Amino acid sequence: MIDVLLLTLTLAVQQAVGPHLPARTEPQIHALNAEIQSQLASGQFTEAREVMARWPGATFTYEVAYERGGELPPSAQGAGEEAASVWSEATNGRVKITEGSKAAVRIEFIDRALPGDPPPGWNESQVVARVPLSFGEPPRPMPRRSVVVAVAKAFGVAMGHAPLSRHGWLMGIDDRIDMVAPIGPTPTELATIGRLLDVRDELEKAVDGRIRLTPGMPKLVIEPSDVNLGIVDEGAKPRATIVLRNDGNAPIEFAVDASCRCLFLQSIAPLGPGEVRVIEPGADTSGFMGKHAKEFLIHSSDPAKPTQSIVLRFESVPEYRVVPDALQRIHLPDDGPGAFEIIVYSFPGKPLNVISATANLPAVTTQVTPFTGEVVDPAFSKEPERRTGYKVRIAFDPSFPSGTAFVNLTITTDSHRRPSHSIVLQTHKGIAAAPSSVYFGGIAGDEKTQRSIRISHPTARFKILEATTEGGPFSISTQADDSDGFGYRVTVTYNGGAKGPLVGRVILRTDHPKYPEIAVPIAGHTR
Amino acid sequence: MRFVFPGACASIALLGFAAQPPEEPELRLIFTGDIRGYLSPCGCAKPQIGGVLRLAGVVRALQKQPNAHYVDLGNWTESRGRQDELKADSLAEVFASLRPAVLNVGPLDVIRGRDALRVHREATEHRLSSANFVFLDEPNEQDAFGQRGLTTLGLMPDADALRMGGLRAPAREVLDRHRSNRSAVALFAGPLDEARSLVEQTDFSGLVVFSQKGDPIREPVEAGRATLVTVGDKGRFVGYIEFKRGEWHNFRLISLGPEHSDDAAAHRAYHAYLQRVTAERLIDTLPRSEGGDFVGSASCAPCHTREYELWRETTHASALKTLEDTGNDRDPECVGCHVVGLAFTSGFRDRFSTPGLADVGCESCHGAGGDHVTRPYELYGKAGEASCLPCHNSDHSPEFEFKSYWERIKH
Repeated sequence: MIDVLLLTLTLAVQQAVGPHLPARTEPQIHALNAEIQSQLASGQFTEAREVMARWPGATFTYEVAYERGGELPPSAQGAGEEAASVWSEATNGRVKITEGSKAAVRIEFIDRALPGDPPPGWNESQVVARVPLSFGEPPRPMPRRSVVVAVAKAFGVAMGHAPLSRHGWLMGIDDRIDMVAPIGPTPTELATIGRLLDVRDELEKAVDGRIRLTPGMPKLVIEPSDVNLGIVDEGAKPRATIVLRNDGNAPIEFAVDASCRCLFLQSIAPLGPGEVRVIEPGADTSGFMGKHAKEFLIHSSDPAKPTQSIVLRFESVPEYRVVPDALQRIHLPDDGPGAFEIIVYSFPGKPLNVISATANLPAVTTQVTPFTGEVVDPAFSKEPERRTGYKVRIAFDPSFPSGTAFVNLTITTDSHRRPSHSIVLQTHKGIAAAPSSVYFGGIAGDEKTQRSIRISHPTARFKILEATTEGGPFSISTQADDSDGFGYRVTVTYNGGAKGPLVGRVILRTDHPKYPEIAVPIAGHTR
Repeated sequence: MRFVFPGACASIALLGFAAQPPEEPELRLIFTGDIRGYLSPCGCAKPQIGGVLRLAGVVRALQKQPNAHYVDLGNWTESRGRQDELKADSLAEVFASLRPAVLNVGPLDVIRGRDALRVHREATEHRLSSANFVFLDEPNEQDAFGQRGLTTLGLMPDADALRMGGLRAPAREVLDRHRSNRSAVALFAGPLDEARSLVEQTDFSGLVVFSQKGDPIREPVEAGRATLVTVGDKGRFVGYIEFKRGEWHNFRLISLGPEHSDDAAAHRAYHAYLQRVTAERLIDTLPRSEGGDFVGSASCAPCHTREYELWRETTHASALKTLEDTGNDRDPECVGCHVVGLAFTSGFRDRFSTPGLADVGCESCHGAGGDHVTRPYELYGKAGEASCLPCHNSDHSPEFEFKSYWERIKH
């Protein structure tokens, strides 16, 4: 037993290591490569030859089918031939693709695109591409260029190139609008195809020459693959330190995609067996606030894990914060002034001046004063924390109108990066409707449809004396609803029979001396 | 040789690499979420990605498959004011037309107010629901919508539900009740960390759709016995996953690029939204600051003739027309970056009363030029990369790179 192991070990030492595949290789080709190399290692040359036949090389055939049958539309006629010549030209004649039997690629022309426009994929040992001949709604004929690109893409997949990358599909992005650029693979794609064909050729020679190989199996280890960069200033560009290690016996090649344009990482040079490399991927946090997790996809020649990820986490702290930041609802008294306060604070080491605060409505004034005190900012902590900055007091004159209104407030600062910040206050004064209109949207013209709103006063009980509608086939009902303040739920029913736009009003007469009549618009349209 | 494509092939899997799936999935889940008010794609990046018109088209196409269910995670808009109310109304209309299994309520949705949620619940055939947040006084929420074999649990972080005064039951309890149901779908409108912690605490074994700002993580995340997936934010992707033989698999993110058709019903709703934005004159409600006197690019031409002529050849000089072509020319969210000085009292109002301030002009980058016209020898208008960034930000102009963009407008 020990003798056998020693013999195997000796043979392994003497045998050459098999070739490795480039990054962005189709999983199907990875599997074929592993199978062939394993057979070559154990001297199963006949079996290896059979498997090799399932891996299209530089010479293969394709077949064409048409969903509708009969003559292909002009945009598809000869598309296979043209796509074949694209590859032939790009590879200086190395790739020869012809239409014929025992096809490695099946092109199925279909009238309409499938949802998601799936890329070409393997079905057993054949690549199947479903190429739509129309796009859009109503359908427009697919441009000839797009049809040829789709077919050429399928040929690339057959040679082993993975069809998708973040920067577009194989053969570049095809946005189907007035593209005049010649069709062809990018230099990187071409290099990948060249490497794939080289590997295949090398294996074929080993099969023909009955040469035993030790399977070339790169193995990529990424440590750590999930990094917390901690709290950083918004705009900072923190980096992580990641170790890449090749625990396999063949070199690893890399291609990188990022889940966010904020991520940066230089290209990674190939990593030999046993080699270790430190990389420093980073994130540009400009425009980010709070906690984030961003991901790199590392495509490599590791057949077991052709795609691995590196996740960078960080919490970005901005130059300044406005609290509260979200939409605020405020109740204003029926008589007399009202007020609301906002805190603008910056972080230690980030001095800030608030220059002004401007509201968009008359009868609203603002006052800016320096502030130091406790602030609860849910974006950072649930507990009050001591902050320094400014207090913005928004004062509402008694003449401010009743009902609901949105007050847009712009705070101007001396920050270079974020000179102004807008927030919105929703005011509720007196008796008001929420939402402020009855909106039916697009509804069937002949169907009864209901929508309800709430009419309320934050502090005073009142009665609706009469509820009517104007302008359409509507009816109305009311029901007391004191769930938030005092009020009524008002349900408007569209009774059918109208055509086109729905325009009307709800008129409510109340016993409140200050708000005897409330009008609420009705809008929508029938289909 | 050409041959007829057999009709039976229409049953070939609509998604995935396998041309002929061995068996039908028991469930197909189509999901969206965190649209956050991005009803249409915006900006200079090509191709533009996203928009509810394409989203609805893709969802509707995917729904044609057997056992398909559509759900939304919530956070329809950022809920920042009237414009977001109008967006939510139109989204309700789009969702209703897609006949979802359930629409979860996210923390941002709650900010719209309970009254708005009630209306949107009515408008979506009562599909708006939450398992851990009470948003109506009626006893009509369910933690599980059992519909044709699908159990969905609509959730938001407990802290948000508590903060907004409506915590009904802790999310952990809800998940715990369904922990052994591998096909259950939890729609959790909270981040990955919290989702992961929840499933680890409860040993929940189903699918969790979670909320993610920015681009989505493209692979399912495994945590405990659960599978976690996301579609990112701003309505740029539709998610799809299948449940078969007790496992969730075949996860796909469908990027909403221009190759996808617009949906007719969504188009009507979006058109109605734009009409309301215009009719309510939202652009006139923007706050305007004092400061500067905008005079228009034509005032610069007599002295800076060469620069003016160069500018006229750029796309900046027809920036407003791009909005007019799409009907967004009275949309406050768009117009600011397509005209001069919208945030100032002396800035753009409309094409008729302030024609010289339409489009991106000299003063968009160099600042108000009134003083410079009267005192031309005083220092004025130094501009640089910082002048571009308010509009060419990562949202609207993700490809922006100062050097190459400057070459296009160099003067």
